[in-house]
Amino acid sequence: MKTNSSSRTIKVNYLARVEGEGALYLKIKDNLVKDAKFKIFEPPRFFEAFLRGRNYYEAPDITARICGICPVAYQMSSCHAMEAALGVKVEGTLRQLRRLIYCGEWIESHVLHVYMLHAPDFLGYQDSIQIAKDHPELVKQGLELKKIGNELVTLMGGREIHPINVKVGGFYKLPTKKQLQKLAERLNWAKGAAFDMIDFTSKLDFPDFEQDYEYVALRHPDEYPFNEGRLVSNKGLDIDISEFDQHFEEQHVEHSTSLHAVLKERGAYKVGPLARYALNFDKLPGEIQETALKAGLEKECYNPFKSIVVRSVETLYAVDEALRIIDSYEKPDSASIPITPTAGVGWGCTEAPRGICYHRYELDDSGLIKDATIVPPTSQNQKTIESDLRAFAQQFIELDDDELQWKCEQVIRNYDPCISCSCHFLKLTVDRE
Amino acid sequence: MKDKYPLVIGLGNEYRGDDAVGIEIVRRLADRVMPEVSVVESSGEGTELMRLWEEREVVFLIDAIQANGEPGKIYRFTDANIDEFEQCFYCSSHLFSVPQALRMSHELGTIPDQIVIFGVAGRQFNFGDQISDKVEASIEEVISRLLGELTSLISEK
Repeated sequence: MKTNSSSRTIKVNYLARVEGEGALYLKIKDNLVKDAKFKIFEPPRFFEAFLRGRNYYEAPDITARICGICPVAYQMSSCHAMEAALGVKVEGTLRQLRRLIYCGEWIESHVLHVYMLHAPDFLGYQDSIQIAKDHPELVKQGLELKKIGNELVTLMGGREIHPINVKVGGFYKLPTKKQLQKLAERLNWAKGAAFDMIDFTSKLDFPDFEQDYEYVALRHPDEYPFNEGRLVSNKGLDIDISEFDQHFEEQHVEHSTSLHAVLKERGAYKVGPLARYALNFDKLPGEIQETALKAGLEKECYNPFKSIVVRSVETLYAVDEALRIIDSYEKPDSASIPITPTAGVGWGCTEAPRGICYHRYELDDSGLIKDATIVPPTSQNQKTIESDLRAFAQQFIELDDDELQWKCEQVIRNYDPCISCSCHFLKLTVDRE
Repeated sequence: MKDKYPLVIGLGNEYRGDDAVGIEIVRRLADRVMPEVSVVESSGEGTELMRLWEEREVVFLIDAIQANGEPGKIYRFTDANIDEFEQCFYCSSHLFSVPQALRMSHELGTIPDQIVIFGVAGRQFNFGDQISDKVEASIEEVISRLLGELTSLISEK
């Protein structure tokens, strides 16, 4: 970090509390932000290339390895895409169980981010271990809540990280009603804890900062989205997921090993909890809508710092939805539907905790993968992260370098970026002239 | 009441070169260890580790580490030199990882009475890499030292 009368440089070489490996660069001249780059330098991993020539049924387990935090998202998107290519549809209880395992992943991921990664920013601590010194009960509650998410993924997926029980056409093995009912007792405690989580996060201090985002999320006629729906935005987008390529494109930028996705018509857009919430508030149960409004949220929220409250609302939703699914569960006769390999093209798009995760596969007539495209949520948010950084740094340019650096790191953590996913650690440089 | 028998946790990613050494060691150990000892594999995610060790008296962690020494060199860490372990922990992309889980458990009072960490210095950690020859060559020695320590512990129980 260096400062003089007209220029300042702030460098943070590895941003902490972000999943993956990346960096931030800000150039400021005469108190004007000239450049803002969110750099990703974790090496690309070429998943799309090494999927070619593999069998259709291998995609869920291979793509799950893209991320240790949201493997279910990759499994779900790949399953839906394969099923679309193969002309089958998973419905009824098996479809409900897919929502159930997704509830587990949202709980795990949102709770980890809110308590362990994001809360320290608001409370002025370096990390959650420092919070544990002063507020052990708060941290214990977060850990217990996360554990319940892990237990749900373990029961449905066979293990908590990189589950192995998901397959194209359904599951390998189904839980018994008794196993799920036992988990429901834990989830009933989790529901109370999720209300506390909303209460805690809603009382944090938020910078006065809003942006005119184009929010993109799935929208389903009957439910808050996990697995299915049309892709919609608050600025007129309303398409079937098979039309993704016609409206979105991925661009290579020199400073990132992750491609930047844009809307061809309008450029940067934003996916994730704030987008889902704004576009699907009416699909939340009445009790959760009321709780969100009482917590000070409106039906749409454009302050990215308040994503911590929306993540908490979605955690409550995931717990509540899991309880609803378990309550009506009767074990089906079969854990999956039969598949016959055939040539085809299929699309899958599901709501990872960080936003939509899009997959497209082309299969040959023996079911081997000829072509694969995967667009993870963080690559879609990169341009918006950069525009947030530019706007935030400009609005708060009078802050001293240390404070500005802290807040800019927080701007990035608002997105809970999963850099491992998007390319496949974070470095902040603020350069003032 | 804590479980008095030892738990051995093998850490790593089996698809990431030498990072797989912890996983490989516990897989080979599982067939040769005394029945009182529990053996598990873990990706190293911090909250999962805290859950695994919260009701345990003695825990062994086996992991690949990044150290200046020769690949395959075996390091042994305990509470007394845990700081050294933190310095040479292989940078995981999961930011709430092994060192953080150890420190968090200390703060919350859920740390086992005794933690022993065997670290094997790795060389290559790229996706798709195999375990390198020098790291592979150290596996049997780690197992032999582990069995020695476990045998002494069990005989004391």
